[in-house]
Formats: sequence, C-alpha cells, structure tokens
Amino acid sequence: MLNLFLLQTLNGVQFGIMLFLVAAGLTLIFGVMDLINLSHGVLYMVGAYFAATFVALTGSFVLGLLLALPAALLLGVVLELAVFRRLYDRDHLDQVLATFGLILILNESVKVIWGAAPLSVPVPAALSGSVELFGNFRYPLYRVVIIAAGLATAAGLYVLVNFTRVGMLLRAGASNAPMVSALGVDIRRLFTLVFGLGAMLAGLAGALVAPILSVEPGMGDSVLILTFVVIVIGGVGSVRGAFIAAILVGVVDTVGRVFGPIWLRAVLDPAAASQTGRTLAPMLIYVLMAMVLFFRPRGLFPVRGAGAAASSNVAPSHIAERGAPSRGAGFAALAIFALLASLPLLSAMTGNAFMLVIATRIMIFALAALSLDLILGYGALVSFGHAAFVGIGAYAVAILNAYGVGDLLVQAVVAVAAAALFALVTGAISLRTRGVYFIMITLAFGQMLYFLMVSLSAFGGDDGYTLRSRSTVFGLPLLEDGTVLFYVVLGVLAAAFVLARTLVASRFGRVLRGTRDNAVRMRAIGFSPLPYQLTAYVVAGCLAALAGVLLANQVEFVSPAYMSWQRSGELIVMVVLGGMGTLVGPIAGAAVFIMLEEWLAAFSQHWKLGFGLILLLIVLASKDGVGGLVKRLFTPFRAGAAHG
Amino acid sequence: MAEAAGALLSVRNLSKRFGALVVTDDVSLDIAQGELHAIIGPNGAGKTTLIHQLSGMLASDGGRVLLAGEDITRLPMHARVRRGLARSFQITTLLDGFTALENVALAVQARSGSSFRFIAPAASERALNEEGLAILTRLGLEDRAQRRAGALSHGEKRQLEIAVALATGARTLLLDEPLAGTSHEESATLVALMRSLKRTHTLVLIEHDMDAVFALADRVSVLVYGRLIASGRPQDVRADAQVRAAYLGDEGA
Repeated sequence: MLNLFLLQTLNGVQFGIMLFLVAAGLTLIFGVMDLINLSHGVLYMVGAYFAATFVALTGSFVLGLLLALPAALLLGVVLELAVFRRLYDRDHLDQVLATFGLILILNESVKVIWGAAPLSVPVPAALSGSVELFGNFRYPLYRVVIIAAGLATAAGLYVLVNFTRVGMLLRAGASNAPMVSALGVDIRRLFTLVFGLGAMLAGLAGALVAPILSVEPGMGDSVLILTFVVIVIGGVGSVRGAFIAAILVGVVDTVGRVFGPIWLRAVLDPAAASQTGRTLAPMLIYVLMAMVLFFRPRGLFPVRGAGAAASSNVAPSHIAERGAPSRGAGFAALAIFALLASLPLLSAMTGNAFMLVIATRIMIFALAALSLDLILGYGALVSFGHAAFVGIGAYAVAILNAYGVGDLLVQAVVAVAAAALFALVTGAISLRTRGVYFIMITLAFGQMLYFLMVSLSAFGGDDGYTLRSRSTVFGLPLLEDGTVLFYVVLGVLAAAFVLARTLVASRFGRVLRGTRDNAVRMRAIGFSPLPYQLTAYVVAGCLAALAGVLLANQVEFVSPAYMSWQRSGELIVMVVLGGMGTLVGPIAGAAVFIMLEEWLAAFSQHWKLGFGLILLLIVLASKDGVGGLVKRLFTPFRAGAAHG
Repeated sequence: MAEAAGALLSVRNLSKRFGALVVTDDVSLDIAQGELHAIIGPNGAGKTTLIHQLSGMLASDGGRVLLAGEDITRLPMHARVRRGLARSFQITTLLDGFTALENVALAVQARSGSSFRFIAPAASERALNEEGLAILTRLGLEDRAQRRAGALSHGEKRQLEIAVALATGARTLLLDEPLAGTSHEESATLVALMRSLKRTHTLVLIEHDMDAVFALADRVSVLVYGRLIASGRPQDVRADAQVRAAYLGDEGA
C-alpha cells in the first residue's frame, strides 16, 4: 500500500513536471504580454509529433529530441511574427477568437500531415526498464529521467528569470509592460523571445511524453485546460507559482484517481465506492482550483500589478449596440421570425425536408448564442464554459428519459433547475475573478462537467447515449413530427428573444449594461455589480439549458461533446460574428455559423482547417477587432443603431 | 479644529502606502455638517488618493473614516454611497454609451427602489427621468439630455460628472477637481452651484483654482507629501508661513 502510494505520488510529480513545462511559457505569455493564448496546447502536441518524426527519421531518441526542440522554437517564433504580434493590443475577446481559430488550423493540419491515427514512439533502449530507488521500491527509469529533465529545466528557468538581464526584463514586463517599453527596451524582441521559449518548453514536454503516451491530434487540448488550472492556481505571470501549482495539480489528480475509490470504501460499499470514486476523481482538481480562487481570486502567488488580472476582457468597439434594444432591431427580429414561421411551407413546396432539419438546428444554437449574449454582449463577461449549460439540458433529457420520465415540461423544469444551481455555484466563484482569470475559470468549470459526463458510464461515457425516443408533450409523442419540433423550437426561441429584450431594457438590464461599460462608475453611484452579474449568469445558464433540452430531442442523442470547450468557443464565435450586444446578432451569427459548417463540411472532412483560417483572417484583418468589422458591415442596415 | 463630536465626516490617522512610498501619512481631519472643506496642495501631494480612500475606492492601510459617527473604513464604495457619501472623478468617468439623462437617471434609480425589476423599460420610468432632468437643468445641461455622454464637450462632461454625483442623493460629496478643463462660463456655473449646495450639502473639494477655493471654502486643509501641514479658515491658511513656503509660494501668491 505504501509502495503504491509512493508510486502514484511519483507519477503525479512526473505529470506535474509535464504540466509545468507547458504552463511556464504560457504564464509568462499571459503575464508579460497580457495575451490569452488558447493555442499553447497545440504547441505541446506539435512537439510530440516533431519528436515522433525525427526519432523515426534518425533512429535515435536523443537526436530526435535535439531536432524537435529547435523545430518547436522555430514554429513558436514564426507564429509570433505572423499572428501573435498583431494581437497584443487587442482585447482578450479578439485574442480568444484568433487563438481558437489557430487551434482548429493546427489540430487539423496535424491530421492532414500525419493522419488521424495515433503514432507511438518507442522508449529508448538505454532508458527502458526500472531502477531501484530505495528498499525494494522500483520505478521506471524513463519516468525518472523525465522528472530529472523537468527539474533541471525548472532550475534553469529559475536562474533565467531571477538572475539574468532577460529575466529582469521579464519580471519588469509582467509587472508593467508599457513602462518597460517606455524605458527604451525593445519589447517586441523580448516578446518574440518569450514566445519562442514558451513554444520550445511546451514542445519539450510533448517530446518527452511521446514515448509514454500516444501521439494523436487533439492531445494538446486536455493539457491546455489543465495548464489553465495550473496558471490560475499559481497566479498569472508567476513561474514559481506555476511550478508549485503544477506539482500540486499533478499529484492531487493522479493520487485522487487511484486512491479516491479506495478511501471511499471507508464510507461506501466497494462497488459504489469504485463507481463514485471514478466519477468524482477527475473533478478533484477543479474543486481545488475553485477553493484556491475563492480565498485568493488572483492565485497563490499573484504578480503585483499584472495587467492580465485587471483589464477588461471586451473593448467597447466590440459592442454593436450600446443602448437599450432599438426599434429597428425589433423590426428586423419580426421579419426573421416571420420568415422562419413560413419555412415549413417552403420546405413542403420544394420537397426539401433537410431545410427544416438545418433550420431547427440553427434555431437551437441561436437560443444558446442568445443566452450567451446576455452575459457576453450585455455584461462583457467572456464565459468560455457556456456549452456546459447546453450539456446540462441535454443530459437532463437523457437521464430522465432513461428513468421513464419522458415529459418535455418536466424535463425542461429539471434542466433549468439544474442549470440554475450550477450557474449559481460556479458563477459566485467565477465572478470574484477578473480579466483572464474569469475566462480560464469558466473554461475549467465547463471542463469539470465535461469530465463528469465522460465518467458517467451508465450513459455511454465518452461515446454518448442514444435516446429511446423524443420527449412527450402531455403524454403525446408530438415531437416525433419534424414540423411540430420546428415550431416548438421556434416558439421557445421567440419567447427567449422577447424575454431577453425585456430584460436588457429593464432596470436590471440597465444596471447590467452600465456595469459592462464602466464598473467603477456603477459602484460610485451605489451599485454593487456582483448580484446583477450573477443573476444574468443564472438566467443565461437556464436559457442555454433549454437549448440543450431541444438539442437532445432533435438529434435523439447526447454526448459529452455537447459541453466541450470547443463548443463554448463556437458559441462565442456565433455571438461575436453576429454582433455582440444586439439580440438579432446571435441568431444571425448562429445561422451563418451552422450554414458555413454544413457548406465547408461538404467540401472536405478537414473543414475545420478552412473554418479556422476564416476566423483567424477575420480577426487579423479588422484593425479595431471583430466588433469593429461587424459594426461596419451591419451599420447601414441597422437604422435604429445609428446613434450607438 | 472643529469638535470631533459635531463632525459629519471624521478622518482619524488615515494612511496609505504604495510599497515604500507613503502617499497618505497619518491624516486626521474633521468636517462639520454643511461645511465646504477645500483640500489643496501641490501636484502629487496625495489629494486624489485621499479622496479614493474616503470614497472607498482604495482600501486604507491604517486609520479610520467615520461618517456621522459610523465607522465606514471597511465599507466598499457602493455601500458608502448608500450611506450618503458620494464622489466625482478627476478623470471623467461616465457611461459614454448612455445619454446624459440616463447617466443621471441611473444614479437616481440606484436609490429609488429595487433594481431587480425585470419587466418595465427603465428608460421610460417617469419618476426617474423627471428627477434626472431636474438635476441636469440645475447644471444647465437640460438641452443635452438626449445626447450620448461620449459625444458631449469636455466641459459638459465635467458638469455631467457633478450632476451624477448630485443624483446619488448623497449629502456629503467629495469633488475631485470639478473645475479642471472647464470654460470660464462653465466654471462660473459650477462655482455658483457649489455655493448653492452649501445650504444643503457637506462638500469636500479638491481644486487647483485658488480664486474658487478662497471664494467658496469655509475651511482649507493643505496636503504636502501625504501630510496635512495646515488646516483652518482660509485667511489663516493663506497667512501660514509653512503653507506659503510649501505651496502658495510656488505661485508667487
């Protein structure tokens, strides 16, 4: 038992070291450049692929590793020069969109170049086998080497940050980058250097684990989320914080997974203990993060004066309409809903049944995007975990269905109640934080729920779960008819639209909009923003859950993928493309997104590559951000918004 | 010095440091109800920091702030506003996307009933708009009511800033350089307004315009390097040798 504990603790340390290598570069990028980079995880993945390729080419692990490192460095520098350099003076939202696009591009490129099948890298012969650490306790030699290499890198970084000229600039930059620039330091070169270094460290981590993990597309995504957890716990910009938090997260996660079920046996019967333990263990680190942030909203080792924690996530130029909803937008909405209502007729006349399916799907996602806009567009709260609420709605239908509760209304009430509870708890914690912390913590809470559903083996886990039938309405299987489902979805969307429109114009909505524009002003006239923001967060979560209820009914299938962070990113894209802070915008955005998805997917299975490119180019091409572009595109059509 | 017991706003040994820099150094001050108390001092003396501490925007490192006998040192800004202590900002802090009227009406809304009302459109609440318009009229901004705050002239924004502070209904106002950047005419409007407010409000005024300060203030305090070096009637402070050396002497007054 003690040996098992030691073994798992060492595995945890090794895992933590890996996380540290990825987190070190990312925390510096966050801290020094105030840049939120979602694509850091793909650099880890690319590092693993580089290692796999070069090891295969040279036949030597050491040679392969030595070639993979400069390749990762080079990729980092190229990305910095081509993309990131243009993002530093953008708001966090633009950065989120551009780096989200970059993830799609790089993940898909890897599939194109190396194929979708996992690659494996053999453990080098000289490092295989295990060593006796003490007594009769043996541990795999290769993992010992990883720990040693990681510790050496950490020591090197410590020296670099604390005792060199570059390190001094880094620390100064993390505290006040404009000041460092004003002192005559070439901050651009420093940024390129930090970026290259960060990419190389992430690449090193990927290359080191290549022999013990399978090298596959998307392997960077899960690491990215854990890295966010590490950075949030450690404090943005603090390398020391990242190290301590990484080891903490690595050990808690690894030990929790193995010992959670064992410890639970003390209070539960063995079968229940093992099931509960398996379900709860993946959530442990998120609970840890929530606890740390509750008491220290800026992490364990906050960097003094770091802009990353203070600045607003959304520049005013993003908001398409600043006042209450205009009459013009109301007419536009009426026209859209009238058009939608006549669609089944059109579909019947043309004999195109698929049109109805697509339109239903668009309206479901429009509902989810509309709900996100309530907090994103009217609250400037960049929530990257909104898909979790869609997932709650979908799973409420699946789980209730499995237990014989098939009534739509009951399911909707349960879904909304569950979403409200989840929003209340996670919102109360998330809203204590600011800036990039808020983006990362909402992302992490979303992932927490995602992993919970993955571990729900009774509902198919990763593979998802097929519903026996659609929900019933007053005992009748009305929804089995596509047209009825279409009108139900349309009705819910229209009701949500009216609700949202009333809400943002009300006293409550005016406080919310005021807080979005200037929180200090609102405090100075006597408002405490938190209760209003939390209420909006709960309302948005409930509406998104309704979208989930409808989605599960349309596809008659639920899967954890509904609540993945990519889905949350897509919802943000819909809102921003359509026009934040308008209520017609998210509906238009969802329509454009879904149709683009359908259209690109018809061309190639690698459609995400094209989508990522389009997204990235849109962000880079519009100087005042996506918001500015959207505004320029739509202003001529929005008579009512002309004064805004 | 006014008697502490009669003071509406009492500051006791207040301090604030940023790292090694002491910005507010053991400041004690009593401001009586109905008094217009000007705080003057050279640039960088820590006047705005003191206002930040009094208004609750910045936490103090030591000392106490009492409003009508209640210790408000630990209260956040919004809670102090509810208790009747509001401020204006040296750097204009308005809701640029809202109309001038909405900026003021929102401050009225903050003290008239719950803002957890979700149905009726706030922009058409008559009571809020009427009270807001009355305050705008008091500042001569009534014909700007429907204009976006961001589109107002600099001087008009400064006036709106004061209008919003008034609209909070607070009876103690901390005004941080209200005259900065206003035209001669706007400045005259604001001086007249402050003079009329003396009947109903207690005012703490930071101002560089010495003519205005000595014309309006009942008492004047002088802040230099975070320390209060003098406090008293305007004519006494003007005659104070230490003050002349530290501050007024610079201007050859």
